[in-house]
Amino acid sequence: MSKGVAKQVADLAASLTLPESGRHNMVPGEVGIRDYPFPYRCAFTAILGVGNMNADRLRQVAQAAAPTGDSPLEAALPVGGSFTYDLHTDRLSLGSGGQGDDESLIVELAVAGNVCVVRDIPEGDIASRAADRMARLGLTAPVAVNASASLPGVLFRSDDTLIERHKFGDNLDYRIKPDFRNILHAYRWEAWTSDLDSDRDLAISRFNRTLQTDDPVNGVTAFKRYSGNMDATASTMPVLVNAYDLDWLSYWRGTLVFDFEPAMSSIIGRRPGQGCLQAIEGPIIDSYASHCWADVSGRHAAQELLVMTPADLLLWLSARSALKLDLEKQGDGLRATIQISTDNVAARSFARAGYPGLAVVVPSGIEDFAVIDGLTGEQLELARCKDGTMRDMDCLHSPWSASDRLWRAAE
Amino acid sequence: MSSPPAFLDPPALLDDITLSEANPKTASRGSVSVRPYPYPYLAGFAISNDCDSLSRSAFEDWHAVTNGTRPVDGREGLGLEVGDSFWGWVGDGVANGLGVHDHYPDVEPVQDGANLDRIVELGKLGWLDTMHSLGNWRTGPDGVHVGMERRKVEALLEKMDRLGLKPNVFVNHADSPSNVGGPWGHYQGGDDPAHPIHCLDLLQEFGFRFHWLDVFTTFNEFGSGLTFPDRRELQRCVYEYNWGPWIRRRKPEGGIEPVIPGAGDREIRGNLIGFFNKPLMEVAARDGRTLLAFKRQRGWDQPVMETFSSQVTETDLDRLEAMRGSVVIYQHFGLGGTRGRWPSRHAPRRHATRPPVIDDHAYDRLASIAERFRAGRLLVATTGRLLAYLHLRERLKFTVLKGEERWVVAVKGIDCPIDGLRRLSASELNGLSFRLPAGAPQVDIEVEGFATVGPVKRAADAAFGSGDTVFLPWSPLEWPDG
Repeated sequence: MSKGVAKQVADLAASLTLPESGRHNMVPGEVGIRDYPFPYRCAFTAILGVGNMNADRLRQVAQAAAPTGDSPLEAALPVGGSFTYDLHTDRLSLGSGGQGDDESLIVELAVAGNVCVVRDIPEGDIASRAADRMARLGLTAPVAVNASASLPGVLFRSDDTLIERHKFGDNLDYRIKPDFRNILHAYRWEAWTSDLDSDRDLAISRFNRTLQTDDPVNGVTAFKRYSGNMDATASTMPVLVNAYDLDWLSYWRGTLVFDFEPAMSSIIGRRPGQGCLQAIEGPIIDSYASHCWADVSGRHAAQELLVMTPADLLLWLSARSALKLDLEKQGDGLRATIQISTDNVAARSFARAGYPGLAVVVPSGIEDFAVIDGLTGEQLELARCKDGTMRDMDCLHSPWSASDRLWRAAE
Repeated sequence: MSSPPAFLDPPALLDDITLSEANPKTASRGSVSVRPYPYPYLAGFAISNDCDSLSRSAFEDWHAVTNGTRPVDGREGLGLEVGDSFWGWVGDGVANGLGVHDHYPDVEPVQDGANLDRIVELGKLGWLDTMHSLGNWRTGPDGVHVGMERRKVEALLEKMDRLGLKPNVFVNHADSPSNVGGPWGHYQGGDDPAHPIHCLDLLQEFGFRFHWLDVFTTFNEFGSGLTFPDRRELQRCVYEYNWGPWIRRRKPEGGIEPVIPGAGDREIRGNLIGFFNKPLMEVAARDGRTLLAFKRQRGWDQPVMETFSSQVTETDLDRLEAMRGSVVIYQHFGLGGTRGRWPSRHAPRRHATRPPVIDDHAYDRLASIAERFRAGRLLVATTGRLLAYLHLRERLKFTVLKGEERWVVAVKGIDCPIDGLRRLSASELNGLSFRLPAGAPQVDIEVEGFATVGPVKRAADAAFGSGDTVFLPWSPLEWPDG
């Protein structure tokens, strides 16, 4: 290394600008694509592990996430279910807590859009067999975690080299300069590289981007996920997804992709891999986890924290960075035409689905403003209101509802 | 038009901080120095447990598990030296709590608290070394505390003195008027000479030596007196440090204003580095006296039993040992509550714990701490005893008489900012350890005021660089459950 790490970090902190920091760039006072559907200011998704998981335990998670408790799985707060492949039975499974009879439910929930993650399927023969089984069932999965990118339908992939242990959330907008400076110095860059000078771009991506690239490689985009500094399980979730960090996520308008094992317990405060993981025999949601889910769903209900399935959140992030606005003056008014990169699956599916949740911010003073669909040339019907999260800005938006499924539109 | 208040920017001021400035130093004479911790320990650990809502039954239960050596409800007693606190006046709202008096200060005639005998018993043995401020006051209809009188403090301290109850650690409590504020003070009356309950002089005359002030709360920085291994880790921690509370204070009339910790650049820099990494700081109280203030580690979550396991993680403890630091944990084992949620916004609300107090997660961590103690890595001591050694290690006055065949480390005393130069007490000999070159001949320790000390032992000691250590063995307290 040509110079010490301290100097490298200092140089990076001095040179890295906010626009290249991984935030969604909305320029104050200018027209732009809003970071999240209106009026949300941050987003959350949970990727469920398959340890000890089965249909009953998936229902428990869904009920905890939807506190009324009477929501069917398909309509529950959209935490995304996962499935894996059991080599011994040649069947897909919700996890190691099942009886080998999960496939019909997996297909049903995948059609509804709730089960969208395939995980823990290594490359090679096992992946080939799993792919065959998925094909026979007509099943695709847009999100792969520690699973082969060759499985049907995979658009986003993450492995254990992309686990964030310390920083809560990505795409954070560190708009206050001293805070940004402090965070850049305090960040554990060493977790990703020993040479910041040569790996600058990689390090910046790891620092604050959920999606590691804007351009998919062979159609697949790598993504980062958060598991905290201990085994992420049912018992540690309340600590790892705590109210204080959620407040900061909201303040900095960030995104959290939380990966954990909801049907396993572990000892709080032990290092990852040393938490004495145990399968939970009884109910998997204890009072602390219940309060944690209630906090998350409460923020969702308050329209602050948007909770989406992993597939939809990743597609949203991909789409929002792929959409461009061409601005054109018309008399006293302004027209914004959405331009879509046709090779971006997320943007295409977003358009095909009718732009659910699309939100465009505009200075309040520009009263005559319209948004045009670049594909059809037609003006989009969007509601206009003040954007309470941004000073002197209005927002033109279409609603997002939990039943919107970008992923289904992508197929 | 007045200019806006100028708040310091500590990370910018300390951007060029060096390892030599930040890393701790102990008293030394030539090649002989006080060992940072009693031999063979590498790091120091204490739990400072505030007695809020702590009932006698919860107190006995958590200490039996933590301090005792007998099994409790199927769990091994951990044999740790972890102390506790008590109040002068408990007041209403705590059933069967720990106080010299169970009533408020304005109640006459005064009555002994129901648990006073136990407090005196454990206080004399050294387990109860902390007062959680003087206690609680009733609030009158005008919103002012009732019974804030110096004479009541005098009477309380006289009674404690008579009973042989001599804690030396004073920690602030919620909004108790007897709290001490230093330069950050706004509501605290203990060190405010204009306040009716001003009593810092009485507290120091009584024997209190170590104070925890509200601002000495740490959040994301685990431990003090850390030896940073390289510039990068030092830089990372300086920028991560929660500086805000140190550089501002609330104004009594509302709003905040800057606190500038020093008269010139050099003094400000020294104090900022002290806030950042010194376990004990000299602080100017508002009545002109000098305080020795120490930090307590809180973490972002509320410090109640349920959060202990995330407040003190294995990673934290490993790092503390590796960086040779010390930590005083801010806890309330008498309180339960949520985990990871705002106590004011989320259920369940805080509530008094009941036996069995310690849950499996907290027990796992306490067991790990006990294992580290037994392995001779982590010194676990009551808050007062840990702080006393940290105080001593910086301020010990000694000379080294070097002969061909024998060296004598002659200890004169401690140069204390409160007492001036004074002799060591017998308790301060516990664990006294000196580092010296391996090639030194026989080394004896002589302490002014003591005919002999001993037995003095010697061992090769690579924990703080090469060399040997001569030491008086550390003797932990033994919980009276035999």
